[in-house]
Amino acid sequence: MTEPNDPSPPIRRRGLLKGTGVAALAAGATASGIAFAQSDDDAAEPAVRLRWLGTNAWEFTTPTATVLIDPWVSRFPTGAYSPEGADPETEIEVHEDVIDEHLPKAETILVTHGHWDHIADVPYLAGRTGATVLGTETHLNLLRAMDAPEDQLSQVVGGERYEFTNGYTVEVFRSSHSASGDHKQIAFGGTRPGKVPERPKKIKDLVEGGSLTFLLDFGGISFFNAGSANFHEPEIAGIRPTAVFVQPGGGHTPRYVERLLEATGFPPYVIATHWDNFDHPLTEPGVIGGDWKALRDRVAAASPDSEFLLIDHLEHHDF
Amino acid sequence: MTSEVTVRWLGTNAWEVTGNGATVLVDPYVSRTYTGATKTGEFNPETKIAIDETAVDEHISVADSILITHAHFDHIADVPYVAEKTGATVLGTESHLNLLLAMDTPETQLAQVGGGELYRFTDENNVELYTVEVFRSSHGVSGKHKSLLFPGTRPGETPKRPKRIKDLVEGGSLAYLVTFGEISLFFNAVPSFHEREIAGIRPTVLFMQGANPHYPDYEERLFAAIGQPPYVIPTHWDDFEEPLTEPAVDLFGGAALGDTVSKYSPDSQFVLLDHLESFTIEA
Repeated sequence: MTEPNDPSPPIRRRGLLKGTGVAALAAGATASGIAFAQSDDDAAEPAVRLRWLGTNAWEFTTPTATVLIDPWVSRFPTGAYSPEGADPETEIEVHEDVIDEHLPKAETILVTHGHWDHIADVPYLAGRTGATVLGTETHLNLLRAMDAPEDQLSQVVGGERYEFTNGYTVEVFRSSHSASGDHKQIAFGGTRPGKVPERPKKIKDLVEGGSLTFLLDFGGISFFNAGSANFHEPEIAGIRPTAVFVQPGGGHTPRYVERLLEATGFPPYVIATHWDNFDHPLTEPGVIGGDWKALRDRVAAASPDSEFLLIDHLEHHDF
Repeated sequence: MTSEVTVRWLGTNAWEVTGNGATVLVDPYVSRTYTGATKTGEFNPETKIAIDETAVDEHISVADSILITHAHFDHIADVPYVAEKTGATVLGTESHLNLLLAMDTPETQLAQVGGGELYRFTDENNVELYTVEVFRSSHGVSGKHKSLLFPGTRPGETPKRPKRIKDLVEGGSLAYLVTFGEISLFFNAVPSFHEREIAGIRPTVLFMQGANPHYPDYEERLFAAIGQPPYVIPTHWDDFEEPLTEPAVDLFGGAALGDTVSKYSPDSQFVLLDHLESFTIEA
């Protein structure tokens, strides 16, 4: 989840993009050296198609495989972006019709942490698609408690590197969730190892459960994704992804954006993620929840040769 | 320091390492209870855990340290008895130690590690005999969904006494670098190793398991991380339902690792040890 109480990024600022659309943004963006979705698409045969489903939900498709990161599209209201922040007692909802509409298939699902806006739709999706699901013991225990199919669950701790037969590898890294507030706290912290807990009913029941980041490599076109604005620098040192997902926030992490781009070798592409206010619909242009413009400027300053991609709701970009 | 270290294979991933008058055991398991694990379709997770004390007494006499790589039955089941018998220090994760406590292992001998530790072991005059460095690792996976056999941890309270082999959950995986002076031995080089954890170590002897299709470029990445060690010894390649006192049945491609090693680490000497055979490394 993002950090309603994090003072550093202007998370509560609402800048409606509706009505302006991508074209208008692109015009303003040219001078800043930003590429928007598909604005420079002269590639003949896309190897990997990347599509945004809001929050940190991303779909990677090739002719033979579909990989999802944090696939959450149910977007039931929680007040996460209100001054009071998300109501911890909000009941978890899974909107199967919305999931069916936006997420037709999956072969592998990567879970970065256990918060509702990352994991809540995974049990239904896993059951419908038969996908392999990677997550920590806690994530998998939460999924079990929500009736995810046991035999599809793959427990990881960070450090693993797996080969998938349909032309990609996944490398897993230990990480931490970003902290918020005066005391560097993780929202709904904690783990649920050992026994499967009671079925989660409220959003506070979906504890963070440890955080992971992933390097997803489709034979040379590779993507590094973290579910929140944090990473462990020595863990990922030396990786050279084609594209890095960066989100607003990380105010408690010194030089989060700059260190991330340096550790990943100043990647050709930087993609904004988890910047939308997810109390607003997925079928409309993303409403700013975390300030991607400030993020864009930081990226431009830290890594001037990287192309900043802002992919709006349900838009895609071919690599 | 020492001029020689001797390693002796006790089947599976069980190794006895002796040097400087000290003995280190890795995953000492010699009971070899029949579980059907090595026969397709016969594996029985409900198999009762049984320690063959006669077999332990026959093959294991002394130990100063016991290193646990994970808690599956074929690694940990004999440790409670071996620890009590030898008085050895036992290194393992919180889950491993909790399982051992539930099987009546002496609590004062248990040393909890998480990976990242570097420990000195000394004689009574504080002269260093050997060091042990611990690395985080992962267990290997199998099947369509990269499943881990008996996954899970048992942190917090000590669980109920494990009765069946499925109760011995993996509990996290570790790798160890054991160093006697100039000679160092790296245990648990498995396809699921954590590349960044062990990058730069330069062991004298590498104990290595065969490839697994779930892991890309295992051998290439392993030797890139640790260089070309002088010696490579295959481990855990035997059918562990067959007797320890007979020659090993090569079920997991132990001999075939020789070709792999000559391809990826041509300067290494490949040492294939059979059951209960020893090999001495001189500095």
